[in-house]
Amino acid sequence: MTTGTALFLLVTGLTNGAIYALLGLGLVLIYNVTRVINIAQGEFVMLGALTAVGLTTGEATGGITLAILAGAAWALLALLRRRRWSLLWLPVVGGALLWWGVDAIGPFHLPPVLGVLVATVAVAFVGAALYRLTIQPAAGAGEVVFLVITTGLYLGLQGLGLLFWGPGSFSFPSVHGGQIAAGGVRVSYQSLFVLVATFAVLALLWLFFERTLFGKALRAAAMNRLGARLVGISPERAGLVAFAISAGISALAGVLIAPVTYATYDMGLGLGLKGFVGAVIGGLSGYPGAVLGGLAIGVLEAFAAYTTSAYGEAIVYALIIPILLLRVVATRRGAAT
Amino acid sequence: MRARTVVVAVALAALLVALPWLLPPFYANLLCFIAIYGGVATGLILLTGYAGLVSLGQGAFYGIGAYGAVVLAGAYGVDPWLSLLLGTALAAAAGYLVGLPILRLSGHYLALATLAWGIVATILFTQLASITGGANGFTNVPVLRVFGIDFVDPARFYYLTLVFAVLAVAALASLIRSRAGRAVRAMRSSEAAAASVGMEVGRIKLQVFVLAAALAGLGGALFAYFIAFISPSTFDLGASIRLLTMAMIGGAHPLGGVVGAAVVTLLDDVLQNVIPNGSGQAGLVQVIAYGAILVGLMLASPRGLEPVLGRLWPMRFRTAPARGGRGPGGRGPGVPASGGRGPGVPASGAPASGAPASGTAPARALLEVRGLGRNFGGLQAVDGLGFDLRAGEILGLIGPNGAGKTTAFNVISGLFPPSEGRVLLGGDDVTGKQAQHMARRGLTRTFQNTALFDMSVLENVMAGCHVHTRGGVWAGVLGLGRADEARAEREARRALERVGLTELDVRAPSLPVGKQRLLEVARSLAMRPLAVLLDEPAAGLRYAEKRELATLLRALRDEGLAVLLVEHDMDLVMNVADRIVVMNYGQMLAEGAPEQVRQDPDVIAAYLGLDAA
Repeated sequence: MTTGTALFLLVTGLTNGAIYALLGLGLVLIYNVTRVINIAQGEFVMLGALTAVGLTTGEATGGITLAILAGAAWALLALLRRRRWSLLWLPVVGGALLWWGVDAIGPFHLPPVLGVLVATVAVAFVGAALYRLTIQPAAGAGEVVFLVITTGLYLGLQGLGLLFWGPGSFSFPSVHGGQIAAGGVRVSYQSLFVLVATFAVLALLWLFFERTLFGKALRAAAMNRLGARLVGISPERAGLVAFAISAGISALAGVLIAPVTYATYDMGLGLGLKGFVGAVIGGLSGYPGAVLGGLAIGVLEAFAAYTTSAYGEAIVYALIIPILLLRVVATRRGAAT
Repeated sequence: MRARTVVVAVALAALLVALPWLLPPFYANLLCFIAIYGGVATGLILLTGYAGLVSLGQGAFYGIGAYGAVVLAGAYGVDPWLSLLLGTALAAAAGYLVGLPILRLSGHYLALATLAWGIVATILFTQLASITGGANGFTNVPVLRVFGIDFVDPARFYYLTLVFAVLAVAALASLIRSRAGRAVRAMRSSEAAAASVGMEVGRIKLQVFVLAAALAGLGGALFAYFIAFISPSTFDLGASIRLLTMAMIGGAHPLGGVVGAAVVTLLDDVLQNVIPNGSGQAGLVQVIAYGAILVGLMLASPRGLEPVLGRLWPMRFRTAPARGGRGPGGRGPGVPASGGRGPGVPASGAPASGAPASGTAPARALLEVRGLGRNFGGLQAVDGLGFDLRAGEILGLIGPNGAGKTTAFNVISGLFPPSEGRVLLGGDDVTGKQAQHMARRGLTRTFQNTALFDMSVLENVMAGCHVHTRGGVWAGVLGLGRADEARAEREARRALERVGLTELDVRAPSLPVGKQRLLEVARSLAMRPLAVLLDEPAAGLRYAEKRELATLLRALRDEGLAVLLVEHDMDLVMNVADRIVVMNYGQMLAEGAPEQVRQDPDVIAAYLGLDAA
């Protein structure tokens, strides 16, 4: 392997790794606040990427449809809980009208930036709605139950992705098509942009958690649900916000990766799992750790794929097991010393 | 009652045998699938439903069984029936090799490890193309044939699958009601408590995992012969999720796997028929429907159909009333707390055996704690603790809150290792040994926050008999060890009588706190221990109950049991303890007879806050 190849692999690995890092951030955020391991995290990536594609190129806009449906279901649930029977028609009719309206205005050819923005917000909303509809009602259930619930979400969302966009693969325009040559290797602007965006998200999260009252409340709810409740922080609301932010970050990751690798309906699970591996390497509770872990997985994957093409994937997944074991040993030792 | 059970069983058997004739020919296919998936899901019920270990990689074992069988038979010309068994054995071996490392994980970490394993296995099925045929699949599948009858026609193959499913269900039903099954259910409630009564939690988990893998492998092998074509996509993550869905729909009941498989398979069929074919969206809607059903089911009933199935076929986790039969060991009814005559006696621990009866002071203490220390990060919870506990003695361990009493308990009982110092039991160095080893050597404990198993009161105490009864997972599957069970039940009843508990069939967690504590004491006594560590046994007891507890403790001491008692009720401690050790800030403050300790100025200062300064 020449230095040039190695550098190329490094850049490829870091670019993919940045996506895993963003997914890892989302997973850690949800895990910290709700103690749920979200198997469906990668589906937010898929929804984000494909919705952005749909909004800019005139393809289907499934994420918007899903947001409308989820919003209607959310409103319906709220009305049912408050026993406002006479108003039940409102979300049904409203949802149908919105759906029809979006359909009538479309197909969309928004400018890329606007498309990304709308897609991210829509997916964040879907994330919040899914929390309200499927996670919060099961509050207090065992971790196994949540695992099965999010597995169900993964299946459902992936199926919807196929329903909306079909099995084809889609690309998304790069921020800037060019490349720069640095140290003998050509780096596309998109790769740089992905890395910069990842660290920007990390910085924003840091600001949110350290400098805003609501961010601090979220951290409090993550540490001690009962204690947070006693000082007036609602763990439910914290969970809702965590899911929304997490889904939004993942959607952004999808838009970032779409120009590099193609976006397909089944891109989610693999990304989510690798993000999880990265997050676990980083300790599953720290945000910088999740980013470093994600980058490490990306680089490892790039080199493994180059040296043993057929088994590259297998190696990355097989790594999950020793990493988890090491973490368990590390936490036990941490308790001991 | 019994007659009705027999009638129902016979009718059910007749129905199952007659099904292929009763239904249109098309349904024979479905029946085969239901039976195969049912058998595989039954293993998953054991793993997930009873043992609480989630596997998202069961499809891998299913695939190993399938590939193992048909590759051996098709490519290497091994006899198809033998291949069937070899494929199963291969899956079991894989279960052992995978389970050995990953079962150290728990909760969702374990689930994710199995998920990763499942994905790796699917990649291997595809990449090892020279053996498996790769993504194109493996077609050269021979026919299962016996005495010139070949199993090709689904209506005939059904009987093979039926045997598999029935055996799987029978194995599970037998296992969970056995001693090993009780251990499986116990460790799910509390691993610490299971270890404290000597259950080898790690080994039981591994056995259960291997059994589930073997069932998956056998099911996979049958599937491969039935379909006569297999490809990696049959055993991918989707397959694992399908199997888990079946198990979750069925719930923790021996019939859960088959019922779950029937629901999912029929649902598939309905969805395929309802959605117009040709549009290519049938599979799609199926996937979405799965997702929705999984989520909906978990929200509506996290226990699946278990509540319904449990009413149809209640699992009575009790043996029949004792018939006076004697255990195979011929030991006869043992007396609980017989002062160290149980099998828990350390082989080389001579002092423990006859000492209390002889009446002279034993040459050596039963339990010796030397310079014991334990720190958590910077916090030194226990520091330089040292004392002796002799057979036939009650030693009180007291100290203000946070003095390190419970930590000392946890270290001595093997829940976690000490940072420094030594623990000797019967003269043997047992420092750092795990709780189950301590229990097997005759030292057990109760828990400050009570750690009972989610089962009946009687069963909780029967779980205490674990170390001196026999019967592992395989014996449980085969339904052996009934005599041991009967003996365990008799001893459990006696132990419950001693502590004065009469609510045998009540679920333990629904008892009032005071009775839960007594139940823990009874569970410890059922172990026939040499030494018991009681962590605040009187908390939550009423005055009369406390007096009864004191009487019981004295009786136990007089029988030669060594009792280490942590208790905040000073009246009780001062009354029953022969000697008292006082701890403060992790260190030993005083040691001596109760009246001596009561007048110690340091002790008074520690309790009343009159600091020397």
